[in-house]
Amino acid sequence: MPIAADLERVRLVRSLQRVASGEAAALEEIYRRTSAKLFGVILRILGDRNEAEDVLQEVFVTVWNRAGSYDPTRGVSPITWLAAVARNRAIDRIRSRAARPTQPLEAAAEVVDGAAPAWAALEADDDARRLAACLDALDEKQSSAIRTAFFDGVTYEALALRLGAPLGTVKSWIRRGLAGLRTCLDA
Amino acid sequence: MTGPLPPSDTRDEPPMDPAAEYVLGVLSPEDWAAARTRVTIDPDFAAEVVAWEARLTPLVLASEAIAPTQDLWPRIRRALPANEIGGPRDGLTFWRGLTAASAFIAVVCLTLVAVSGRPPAPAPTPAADRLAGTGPSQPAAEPMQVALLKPAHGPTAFVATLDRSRRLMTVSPGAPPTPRGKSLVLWMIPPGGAPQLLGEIPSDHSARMPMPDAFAGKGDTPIVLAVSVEPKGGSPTGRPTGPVVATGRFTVV
Repeated sequence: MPIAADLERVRLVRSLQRVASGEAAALEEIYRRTSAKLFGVILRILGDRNEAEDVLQEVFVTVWNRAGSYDPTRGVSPITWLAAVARNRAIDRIRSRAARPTQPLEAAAEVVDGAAPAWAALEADDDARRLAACLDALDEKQSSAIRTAFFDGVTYEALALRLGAPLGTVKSWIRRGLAGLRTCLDA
Repeated sequence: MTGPLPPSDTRDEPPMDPAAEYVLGVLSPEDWAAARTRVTIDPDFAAEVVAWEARLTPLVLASEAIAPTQDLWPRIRRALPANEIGGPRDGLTFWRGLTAASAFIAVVCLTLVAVSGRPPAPAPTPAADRLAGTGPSQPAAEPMQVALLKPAHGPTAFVATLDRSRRLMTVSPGAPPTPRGKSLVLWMIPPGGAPQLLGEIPSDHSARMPMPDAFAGKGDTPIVLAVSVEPKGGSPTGRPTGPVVATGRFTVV
């Protein structure tokens, strides 16, 4: 791992620990360093800027309340933990609204300005590259089913409809793909 | 049969991996809610879920960074619990609030211990004090059972007590979550069984409800009490649909 990413990981872990003991200033620091990344994650899932901002707010309130449950000794990087909170919240939002087609992501062009720190991206990119390589090693149907499910929060049934494939076949792709990913990532 | 599966063979059914399928989000709403409850009561399953979140989350981390609107941070600041109780920047008041809540729970517990230790004690518990329009509860001549309902980490959210003589269960808030526009719903989960609805519980005062027959025994109970966040007015399906925010079980104090 690059030294810069390593250092920033330590800083983010420290900030989370300070948040766990009630320091609002530490939460603001985490926000400054990660909000653009997390907003990108949520927007990619929801496709709606206003909704994504509501969810990002929920994410930071959750982090404020639950920072103490992040355990750096479990091998999960802090940015991954934060992104998992963000994705879970975004999927909750999807499940709570009526099913509707994903909107085109018109906001994707609004890239973060140069002043925002890019460090969180360093480590994130490292993990993302490894996962992408393992996904690419899977059968194309398996990897594309997994990607769709993960971003859109769709159930087996909805996925089968969307892909025009029998339910059993879709389950089989996903389960086989997940088993393959596990083997590849844990190797 | 744990050997490697031939990738081209689609006839063999690949094994289920509930933790992975839960994290991926492909489970039906019923299975998903069941898995969500299982996370709070099965540590091995919860560890599997964390491992899968670590494996899969980098997928979304590849998304491009996009700045949210500039006034979002001030909005978040105002939404923090510290501000709900008029807290200053440093969050000190938030901690005072938590400490007060913990102290309240300690008082409840100590009083319960004191009451159970002295059969003729006339003092009602603070939990009973908080009930509008109820007289002092009958002193308990038998071991007291208390359930502290807590989140995975953090202070006790609710305290449940049983009044066996009147067959009542009381649930009092300690440091409860206060999700805006949502309801908190109490469930009882027998070992290996499905969650059973007990009712909505308020976060600002005590609630009393009939004591479920399952709590008729006088010792520790294996039955888990769980509080989930549901849409306003309760669960739309009659089963938990939202996140479980606190769990606990009755033990003798």
